[in-house]
Amino acid sequence: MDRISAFMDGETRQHETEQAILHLKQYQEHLESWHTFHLIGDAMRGDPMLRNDFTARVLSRLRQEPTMLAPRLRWRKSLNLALSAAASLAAVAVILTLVITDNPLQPQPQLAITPQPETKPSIQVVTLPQPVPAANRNRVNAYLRAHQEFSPSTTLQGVAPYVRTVSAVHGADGR
Amino acid sequence: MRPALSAFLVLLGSIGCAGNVAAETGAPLDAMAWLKKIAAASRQTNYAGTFVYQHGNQSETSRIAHLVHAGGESERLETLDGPPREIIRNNDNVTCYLPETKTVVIEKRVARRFPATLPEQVSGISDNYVIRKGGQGRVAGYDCQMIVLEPRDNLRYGHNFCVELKTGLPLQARVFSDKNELVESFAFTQLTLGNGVKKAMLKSRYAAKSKAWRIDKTALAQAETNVNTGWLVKNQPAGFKKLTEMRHSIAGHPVPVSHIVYSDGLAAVSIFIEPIPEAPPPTGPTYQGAVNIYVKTQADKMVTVMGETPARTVKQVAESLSSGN
Repeated sequence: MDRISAFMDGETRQHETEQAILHLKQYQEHLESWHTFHLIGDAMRGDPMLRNDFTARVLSRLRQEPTMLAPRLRWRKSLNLALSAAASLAAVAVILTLVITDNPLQPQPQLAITPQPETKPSIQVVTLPQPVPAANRNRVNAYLRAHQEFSPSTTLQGVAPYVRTVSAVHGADGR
Repeated sequence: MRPALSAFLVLLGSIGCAGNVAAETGAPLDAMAWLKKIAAASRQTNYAGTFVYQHGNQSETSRIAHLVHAGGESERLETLDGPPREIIRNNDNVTCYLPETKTVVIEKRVARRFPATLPEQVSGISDNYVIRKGGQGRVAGYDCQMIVLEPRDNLRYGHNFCVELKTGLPLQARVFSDKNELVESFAFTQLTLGNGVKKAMLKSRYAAKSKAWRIDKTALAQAETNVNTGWLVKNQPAGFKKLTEMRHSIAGHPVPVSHIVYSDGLAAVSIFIEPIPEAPPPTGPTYQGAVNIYVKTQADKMVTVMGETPARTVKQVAESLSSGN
């Protein structure tokens, strides 16, 4: 069970991961624990809950998908395993995204559709935001306190304007 | 396991209730009335409790106490996990104790928190958010009313509140991205309301011990409000209006910083402008919880833009800044 939990947290090495997958395939009751762990995790994060038969429905949908035929490449067996695992994870991720987006219980952003001026196609490098680097947190914290003093949402959230800054220092020194 | 289980049950409860949500009919006055009640509650209610703050895959637990007394308002916040940290507020005077570095940071709030002006802003919120009442939920043993704010476009996040029925204190607040991902949340896990809150709960753990600690008072210098900093946002994000423009001292910064705030009635975007420091921080986008940050240099200044909005909103403000030169 420890191994399953470590695998879930992404703390296993590759061969341990493979072992864990084989183990889960073999023992139905551990597979059920695996599903339950994920369900609890989702619930605690406030993610929408998946139905019990979610996996069964994904598999049945996958069975209905046309099989892609492609020239066979001679990859090593383990690579094949890793790739197929990655592919099923990707499929699950896609379906999960669909499920989440379709969830009617959460706020749905309504995008205002405005005619866009025609622009020349260009290649843009998009930089995704990263967490504030530890070295810069004290500086950002002082700004955060000043910012949140003026944010109406701070008042609505009730728990004082310091929550995020307390947390930030937290992250800076710990873990 | 018990807190996990209760969070789990709370969630089940709120999902069950949300299923009964009535169809959207403009912005019912009732939901608006709830927002106003929330705005007043966090200032007027006596409360003490433990709450969990979650962002990304991290969660942190803190303890808070808030007391209204003859001399005004007092508040105490301390972290329960990770490095110890305590913040004490008496009206506008804020003291942060950082025992690890043996530092005391003393600050004075520039704005008295917003409740005084909020009710007018609340009516403006409906231009940018669809406000509706959800079902009833239960958090930390108290029944609460769900209030849902759905953004009308992708320049702002969605917010859910679960508000204690009698006092209007928000017991749970959640922020959702435009992809419906939970960006951050906080929820009380234990709460005492009203007369159960005693003065002793607001007593600092470090006030006596910290006599010999380093004291940082850089943020205490005078603040100038309503100044013209000479900086402009040329491409203002839709629905955001300028709230204030000022110059004030910020802890750890040698000279006063120019600070401009825009708000859509709920979220705010701040622009900080200061001389480029000797060791400039990395430029570009970063985030902390639901707050997105964008740092850049422009016209020999360092500009930091931040807001509890999607990254695109903060970036739009940062990229359309004009120094007026």
